[in-house]
Amino acid sequence: MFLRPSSFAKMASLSVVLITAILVTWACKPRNSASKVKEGDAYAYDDSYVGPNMSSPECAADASKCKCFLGNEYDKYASEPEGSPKKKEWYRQCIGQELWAFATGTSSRYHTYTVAQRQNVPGDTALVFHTDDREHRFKNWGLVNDPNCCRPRSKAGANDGTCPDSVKFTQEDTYGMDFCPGDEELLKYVGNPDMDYTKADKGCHLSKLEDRIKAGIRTTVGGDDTAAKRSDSCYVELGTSLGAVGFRKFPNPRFDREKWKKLNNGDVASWENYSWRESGKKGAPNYGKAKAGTNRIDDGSVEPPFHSSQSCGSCHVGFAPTSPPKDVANPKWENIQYAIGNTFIHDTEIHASGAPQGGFEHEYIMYSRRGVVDTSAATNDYVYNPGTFNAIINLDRRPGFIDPKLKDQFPNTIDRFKEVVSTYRRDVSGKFVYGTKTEQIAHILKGGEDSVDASGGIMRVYANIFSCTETCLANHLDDPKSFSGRGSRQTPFEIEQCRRDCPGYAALEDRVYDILDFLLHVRPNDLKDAKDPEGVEGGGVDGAKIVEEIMQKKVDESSEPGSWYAAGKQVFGEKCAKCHSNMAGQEARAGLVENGNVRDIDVNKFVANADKRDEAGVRQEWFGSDVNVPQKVVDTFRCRSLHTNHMEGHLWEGYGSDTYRGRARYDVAGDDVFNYPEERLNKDNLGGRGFYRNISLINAWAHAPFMHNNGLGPDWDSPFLAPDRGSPTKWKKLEPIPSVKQRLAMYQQSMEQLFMPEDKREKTGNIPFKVMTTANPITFISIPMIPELPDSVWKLGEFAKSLLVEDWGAIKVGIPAGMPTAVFSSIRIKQVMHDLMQAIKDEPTPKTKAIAAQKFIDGVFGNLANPDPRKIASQLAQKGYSNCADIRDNGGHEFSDMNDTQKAQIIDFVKTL
Amino acid sequence: MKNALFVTLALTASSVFAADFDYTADREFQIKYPDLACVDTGPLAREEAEAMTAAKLQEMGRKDKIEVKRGPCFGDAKNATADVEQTITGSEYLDRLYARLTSGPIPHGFYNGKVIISRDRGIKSVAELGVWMPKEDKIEKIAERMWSGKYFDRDKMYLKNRINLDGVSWNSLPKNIEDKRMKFPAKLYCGQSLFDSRRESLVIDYKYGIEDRPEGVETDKTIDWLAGKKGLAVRDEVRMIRPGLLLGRAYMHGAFGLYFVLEYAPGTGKDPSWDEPDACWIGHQRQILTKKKPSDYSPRGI
Repeated sequence: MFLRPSSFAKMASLSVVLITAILVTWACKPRNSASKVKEGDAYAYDDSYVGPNMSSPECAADASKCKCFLGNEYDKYASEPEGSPKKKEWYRQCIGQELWAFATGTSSRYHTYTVAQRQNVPGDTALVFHTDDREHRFKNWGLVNDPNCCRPRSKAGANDGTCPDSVKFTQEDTYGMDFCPGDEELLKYVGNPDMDYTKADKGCHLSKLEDRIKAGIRTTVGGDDTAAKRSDSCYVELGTSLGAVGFRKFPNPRFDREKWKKLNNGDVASWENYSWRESGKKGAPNYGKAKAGTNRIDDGSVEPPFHSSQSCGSCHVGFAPTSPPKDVANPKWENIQYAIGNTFIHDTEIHASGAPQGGFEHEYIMYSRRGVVDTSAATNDYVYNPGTFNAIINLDRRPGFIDPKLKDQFPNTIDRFKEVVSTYRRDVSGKFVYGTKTEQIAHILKGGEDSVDASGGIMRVYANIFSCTETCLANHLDDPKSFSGRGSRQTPFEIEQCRRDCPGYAALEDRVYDILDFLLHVRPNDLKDAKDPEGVEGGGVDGAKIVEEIMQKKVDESSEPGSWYAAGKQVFGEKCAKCHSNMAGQEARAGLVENGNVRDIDVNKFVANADKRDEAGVRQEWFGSDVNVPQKVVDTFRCRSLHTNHMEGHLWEGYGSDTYRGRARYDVAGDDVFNYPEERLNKDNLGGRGFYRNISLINAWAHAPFMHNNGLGPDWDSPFLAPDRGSPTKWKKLEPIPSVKQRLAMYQQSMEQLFMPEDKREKTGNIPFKVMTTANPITFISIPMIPELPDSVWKLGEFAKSLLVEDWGAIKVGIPAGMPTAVFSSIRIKQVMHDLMQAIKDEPTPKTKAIAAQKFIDGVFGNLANPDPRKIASQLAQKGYSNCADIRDNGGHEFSDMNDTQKAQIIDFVKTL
Repeated sequence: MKNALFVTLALTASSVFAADFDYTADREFQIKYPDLACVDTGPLAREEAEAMTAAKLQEMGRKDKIEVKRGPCFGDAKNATADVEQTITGSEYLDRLYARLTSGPIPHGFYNGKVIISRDRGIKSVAELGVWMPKEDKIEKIAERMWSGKYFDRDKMYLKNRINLDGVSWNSLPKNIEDKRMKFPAKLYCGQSLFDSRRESLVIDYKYGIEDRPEGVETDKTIDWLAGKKGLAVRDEVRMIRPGLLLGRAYMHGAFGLYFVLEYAPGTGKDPSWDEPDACWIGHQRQILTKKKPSDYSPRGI
């Protein structure tokens, strides 16, 4: 669902003098000040930095009022003269940052209506975002509270909320949500069908700013603007904050306050009978009970006051590893970064929070681990596809992005990833032209799928977070309940159709290079710059001291200071840099592997260059290659690599290159690099699937646990990983605290597990792996039926009477809790249903049909009363009912053939990256 | 066959199967030329529509020769009758027709109804697997005899069905929603089409029909539950072919069952007219083709 320009392990990096200076300067100086609050004025919480304001009318009109902090070397251009190319570059990145963090691009109707009525996995807005639960949002859901929002007073009178006294709005005014900047205007539009919020959205001001700075459409990375005017920026749709950064709200013109009041027992702020919130009452321990009650989220006739939505930032915004908040419920902007990736968020639980537990759709989309989402669940590819929200850092140093002119400065990096891409591109005039050509692209997703170019990858992300879904996407989705005709399988999303028909897509696409420019220059969070503030929960660590100790440490008493670090770098070069360096795979287009072995590199060359930085202080070495590696080689949890959406004829066909889809099933030595039981029918290739993109290790210290599913290492504890929710109690868990100290603890323990032999890692009972299982019994199939009836029933009227019988029979087939999540979410459901119907069709009576159905299901899944995940996975694969049969959450990537000293040296070396 | 079996599959209740489907042809028509091959121009005059579409095509740099017709592309909407299946056979044609319609205004009054059961979509394809009822034609017969129309109350946003149970006399058409002969209550609202997401349909939702009945309206506890949340969870969605003629799709537990057509019975409510605007969200595509003013196509959905 979200952009992952890097991938499953996490990144890290050293920072440079300049960046450090910027960060220190930023941390110390007063933030851009909001105007002082006056009675009745637009609201501002305090004087701290309030985030970018490119979309404000003040900035559109007056350059001196524009506020933006990029955190990179381009911040110094803010003081350049208006009209200068550098100032324009600063503006572009700031616009990109704001769009990344807040733009929804016409998706709020999807998140309000489509998920509830069409996909049956609605979110419960009040359960997650009700202002009364503001203090619990991080602990429960991993959300980053918006520093500009506050809890309004519960009713007129004494201020019992957290907003300043000058804010007179009550919870009745905000319908139980936080009060956030812009709400004083937005609330006027709630329930008012005669007013169109589209033209009142803050995003409209971007066009005015762009006119002022003469920003036209750009066609390439770093390219100049064309004369073509950008389309109406109103449709980027920023809305106002829902209380957590990246989650946005819009007024619902259909809302009827009186009806809402009646539904909720006279209290418009409570959401009492609409949401599950009241039935379980807030707080982590009670969360699971919340869904015991009823709600009206599934009643399409009830219109909530807001359409809720999300931006890319909803999952990519997170707490800064270098500057953790003192209070996770009340962070400041300096504690927040826009592209860090939120490793604590419970994305799928937030999205499915309004769906009944145990329902097929809820269990299908659920993934209980923090910081991970299955981006193809809502788009129904029937492949379990967990992926982390990676930190996006130093992308301009990444293979496939590097400017050829800078090659001299980056001796290790070569041009690779020249791929055949068939897509629409803008020509120099800004018009779109379709064509096929070979070009250098970046490998973006975890399997390198988004391979048209980075701008295309970003637009695919917007489509995948459901911008323009009604206009462009939903008709291409596979409907699990449709077995023929439209909706019975995926068809490709048509980029040109969406560009033409949906103003949100066009508005974002015209600004996509601003977003890309911002992302290209996000800089890392080095441990040496990280420090826990005084009194921070679970903190107390100064990263600079730790790094200094590592840099000065001796291998033994007789050796020089620094020898420990040097030894770590050397052993990393020998053991890890074959894959995790710019040098890896550069000798051959085919990739890292030859004759089953990873190619060697020149270790001395790696060691000599590993610490080099460019003149801006940015590290040269990427500590990753972005080369696609057959999953069989890295051997981590394989379901992600079998994701199908970019294959020909599938949803994202238009965002994958022809080269991607042409990746061979066999490696250069002729070995079958797949050979999975579930793919036995694919003879030649898997449409590009079966690979993982090798990733960068920069900032790994801040992003454990590891692997693309966060499966290797302890888990961040969560109410959704409680024993009664399918998580074995023996799994190691750490409190989800974003402090430097806690991140380091997670890193240390995850690295230790990484270096263990696979069978020594954490287990699930007698199974030598962590196996995520379903938390609830699932009603898999329910076939209501009328009992046997005589022939006379067909005399009309008699049939009608027969409908009145009370004892309707039903074939009900359930799956108990404990089914491996990967297996359940990868079932070829339509194949199973088809075969089931064949199995029961000749049975003469409902009763015998029910028996036959259960027998069939038992044959498919094995003994459901005492399920063995391995057996179930294997059986399903053998029968052709599974798209992925891997259950090893923490399997593969085994590097245990080192002594303890070498392991410790690598752990310390990587810690400094 | 002696045993009658009434089956609704569920995936948490699902349906239907198979039948080959030509996706290549479908893509060419439906996706590559999504609306331009046959433009739904609503109430615009044909000449206006042609001019507007030609201008749009020119703007896009396309030289395709595109057929432009007012309203739906299959047949003349103005003269269409409830016997649409006589001229539009096969569910693919109905699918295409439905996908080019908008909701129209909320109807008010009684609409005579007729089911259209496709051989390659919905409930009949279950029959083809031999799981459903003994003979296919009985489905139509039963449906025809049991159900013959709907009464819409736009003020109460509520609906009931004319059901032909034994002993119920239908010598006169219902004049209001309080008519106790009618069964299966449902709520009306503008909502998602489960078939075509590009614009909303008028949804007839039986899920909370009993619980949320308007004051003065009674329900029949012995049978009305059957269509509700604890029964088959029926959800219909309708779009307007022309004023007074509606095309609907019926779902059970989210799985498509059948098409139906509704035709206004004069004198039972408010006479339909082209003058009334669409009640539900008309989507983004039309705004580009017709360049209406923004308030006519608010992304918020009015």
